[in-house]
Amino acid sequence: MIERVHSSGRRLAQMAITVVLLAVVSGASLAAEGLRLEAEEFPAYGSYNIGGSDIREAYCSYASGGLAVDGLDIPDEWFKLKVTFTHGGCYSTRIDYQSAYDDTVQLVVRLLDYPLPGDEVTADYLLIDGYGFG
Amino acid sequence: MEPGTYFLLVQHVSGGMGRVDFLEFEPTTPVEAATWGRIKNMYNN
Repeated sequence: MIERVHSSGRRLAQMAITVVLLAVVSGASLAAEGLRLEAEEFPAYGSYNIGGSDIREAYCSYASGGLAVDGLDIPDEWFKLKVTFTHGGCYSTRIDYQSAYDDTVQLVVRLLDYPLPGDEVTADYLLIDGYGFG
Repeated sequence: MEPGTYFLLVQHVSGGMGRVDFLEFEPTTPVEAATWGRIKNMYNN
């Protein structure tokens, strides 16, 4: 059994990060209504696996397009995505992820090199409720 | 935020394995963002 959550970043808005723009992402296009980055695009941009399960694309019945990314199971493991914003604007972020049933998972999303090179903006996500099947 | 190309890291912090489907950016306003930030901050502290 897998848990599923739609979570909003707690720090993002806080940091006025409701950031951005209108854009086009590799593969995904940003319309006026928003932008979606599919996690399974990560192989083009990199990942860091410490151990446990490999970070890999996984078939998932509930996922958009039937694909998701498995393997973030050890603290500090990550995968990277790219986003291109073509216009300035204000956006909030959300992430769709799941964990094993009755498990708690905390993730963080880091926007790298913003506002300056070497800086970053972070949003924490804690899965605390909701479940489904994947 | 200025237009440009940026990289995002999705990083595991704690707990079991996470399975990630997607990230979304949704249009909002600075006022709305600040309001949500304050509300979330109240519940997180």
